[in-house]
Amino acid sequence: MLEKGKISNNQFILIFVISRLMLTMAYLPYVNAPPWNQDLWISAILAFPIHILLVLPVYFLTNRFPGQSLIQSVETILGSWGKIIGALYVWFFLHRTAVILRELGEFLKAIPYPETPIIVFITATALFAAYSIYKGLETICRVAEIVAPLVLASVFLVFIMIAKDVDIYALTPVLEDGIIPVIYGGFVIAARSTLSLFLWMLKPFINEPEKIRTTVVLISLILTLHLTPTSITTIGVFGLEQAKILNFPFFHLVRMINIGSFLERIDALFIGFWVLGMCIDIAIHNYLAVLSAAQLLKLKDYRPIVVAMGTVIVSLSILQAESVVELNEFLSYKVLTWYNLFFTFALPLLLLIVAVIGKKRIDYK
Amino acid sequence: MLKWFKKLHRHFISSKLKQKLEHKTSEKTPNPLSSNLQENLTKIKEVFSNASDIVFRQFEIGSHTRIKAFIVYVDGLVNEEFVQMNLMKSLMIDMHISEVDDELNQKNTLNIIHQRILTLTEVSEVNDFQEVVEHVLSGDTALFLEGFATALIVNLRGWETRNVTPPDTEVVVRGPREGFTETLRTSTSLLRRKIKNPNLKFEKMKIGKQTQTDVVIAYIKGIADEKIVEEVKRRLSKIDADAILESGYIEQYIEDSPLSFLPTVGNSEKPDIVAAKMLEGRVAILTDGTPFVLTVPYLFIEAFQTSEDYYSRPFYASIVRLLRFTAYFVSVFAPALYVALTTYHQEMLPPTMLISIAAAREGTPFPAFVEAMVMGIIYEILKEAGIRLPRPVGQAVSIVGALVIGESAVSAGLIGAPMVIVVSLTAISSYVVASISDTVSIMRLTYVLLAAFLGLFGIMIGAAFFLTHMVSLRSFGVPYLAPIAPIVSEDLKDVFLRPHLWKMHKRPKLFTQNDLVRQEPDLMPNPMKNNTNNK
Repeated sequence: MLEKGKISNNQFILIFVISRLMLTMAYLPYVNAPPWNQDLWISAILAFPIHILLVLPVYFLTNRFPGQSLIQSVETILGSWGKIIGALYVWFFLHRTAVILRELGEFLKAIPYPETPIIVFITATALFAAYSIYKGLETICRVAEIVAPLVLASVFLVFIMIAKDVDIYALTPVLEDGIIPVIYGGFVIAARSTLSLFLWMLKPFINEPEKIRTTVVLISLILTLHLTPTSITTIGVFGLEQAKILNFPFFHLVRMINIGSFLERIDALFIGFWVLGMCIDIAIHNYLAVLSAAQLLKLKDYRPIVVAMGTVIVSLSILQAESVVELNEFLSYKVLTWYNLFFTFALPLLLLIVAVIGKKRIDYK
Repeated sequence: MLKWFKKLHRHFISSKLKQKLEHKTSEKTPNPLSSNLQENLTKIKEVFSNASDIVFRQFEIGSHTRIKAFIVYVDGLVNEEFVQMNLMKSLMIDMHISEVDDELNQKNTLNIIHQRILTLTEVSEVNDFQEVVEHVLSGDTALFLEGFATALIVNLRGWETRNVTPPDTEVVVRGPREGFTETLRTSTSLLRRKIKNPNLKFEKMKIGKQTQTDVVIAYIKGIADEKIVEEVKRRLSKIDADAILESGYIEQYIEDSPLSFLPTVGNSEKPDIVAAKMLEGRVAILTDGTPFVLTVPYLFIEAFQTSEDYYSRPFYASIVRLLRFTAYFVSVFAPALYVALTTYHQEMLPPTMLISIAAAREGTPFPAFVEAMVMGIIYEILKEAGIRLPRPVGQAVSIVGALVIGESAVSAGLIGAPMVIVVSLTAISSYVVASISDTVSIMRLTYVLLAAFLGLFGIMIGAAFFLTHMVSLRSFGVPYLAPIAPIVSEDLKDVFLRPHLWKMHKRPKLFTQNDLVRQEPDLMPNPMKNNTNNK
């Protein structure tokens, strides 16, 4: 066994929520996606059931192959051909880590450190990720257990403190373009999540796998409860058009907070928590990349490849895009939705069908 | 090639192990006493040659049958008055006038003396020469008789000891004042007086090849986890050190993560604190020669829980505990945040504050980072000088520290006034959580460095590294940051706040699974209900 640690269901919830929350807190890409209007908050609510639906293929697969992670069960289904699919998934995690690292760097370069080269942030964070991978999954999840409540509490406080500035009429008219774009928006939001892959990789290490259904529902609920107020406050404070122009809508929202002109400029605190959360986000994604690669290559220990993978990820995060504009092009709903969906939903669904058919054939023999 | 190296290495190690084992077994070969008194005397004199503090006294017992005898003890470790009155007088005078004198013969002397003459409580018979020497060195008196290959070991220990005094390190406003002393027996008696329960066990060990220091493992059977007790015994028995002069030696040999700068073994000087920790399932290690008692497992939050939290009422105690957490963060992060905000993120300060800081720093020659490092190091020097300096010089140092380095450095324009404020605030705050103030110093300087290089991002990366390091530590199998991470919801109530005592009806789950229930779940005092007269 590569990883001897066990994580609790609550730790799984927190580690996934934090990995979803951090990017939303800075970039909020949904304002530039369907439904393109003030109904974003309805899409956020609709994302809740869609999010659960998208996890279903993986859920059935993990029930079919209990105790096996993504790479292992793919190999059980497809035999040695599964290596190719496995390699695809290793690439996915690797790439995703690189993307998140780049996003962290771009944010820090844009707001607090205009003159520092981006490689400094990326290398420092990748070093941290490597260190925490050496310490193991349990350690990463425990750090998430400390940081996630802090982040959630601070986000909640932001909602309360900005509430007086929200213009609720900015959200009208409701359903201006009908319901179809809104559902499409919900779908886009849900499709960005990689919950199914987290579940597939980490379920063997969860100590109460029978309660996983509650866990998945709770995760979707927390994400919806976060995104709905975020979209309401962002559009309510800035209006839709300005929110679309801003690079980091939620961050600017935090900058707007001013209560009695003494509680202001708490964005320093926000950046602090955000960096902490991003560190964990990157650490867990990097961990998944390393773990899946180690499982693919059938290593006895994943530690020898941590530094090598880290180097690849750092270079990849620099080389993948010339600028933040190019990066955002990839991250826009037009590309990322389908890219993600292929890995999180389509491929697992195919594998599930193959598995079901394959099982039948084995049964008939 | 590699395999060959491995083989060689294994061979080398195994031969070394064999040597070690042989060495150990040779040490334990029995060395029985002779029945010839003179032989014993020359042998023991040879062992104790050139040791001027060893006293030999030869004499005879009985009037009809005269039996030669001698006693050996270390001068200064025994109570001489007791030796004279209770041992020598009994053997040389009382015996003659009592009726046992007639019964005395060559065969039964030892038995008669042991059973009927000696009015002392702790008397034992020892056959082994090495064992006799160990007893004598520990302060016992050995009595040898002609014709017996057995020595009587009599406990007449008595040496200069310090009284039970209030400890200097852990001062309380409310609560017992007494502290442990250097004498192991006194310390165990203080614990026994707190917990009058036969399940309180004191298991004795001797550690240190030269010093042969007595070490006692104390725990409450039925509450402490047997696995932890066994682990403590295993780690203690593995110590093969030359000397154990303080419990700190033991701590460094048994701690879980010797390469971490955080302590994973706790210590205390106060019996009430150690008793409370043992009642939660921890194991205490008492060492002869030091008042500092080790407690394991040790968790990070223990630094924030003081005994007074539990002796005073819960409301203010909870506020104080929150203050302690605040002070801890201030003492760790304040200088680093100051450096980061003034160097990198000026736009994040409110404008008026920024202006006053800028005005105060106007004309100071050094960047904030240099100021912070210099002031931080000067503070550490002052602290160290304050501990070591002889008392009459104390005033001079405080005047020099306060005036020259604080006031004059600012008025001369060398250091900005805000930096002095930050450093003094930090210094005061770090003593709110005194037991980990040394690790705070290390962290503070590291964070200042990181803040100088990378600003807020540096601090946060440092915090992430540090948090990861902390959560990965374990103390005797218990995660160091529990119950915060991993969350143990039952134990979380006594972390940030101090609940009512009747609310904490269960022991912490972390240390033990045995006998978890302390008391009835609902013991909230309710005088109206309990007092039947009021009805």
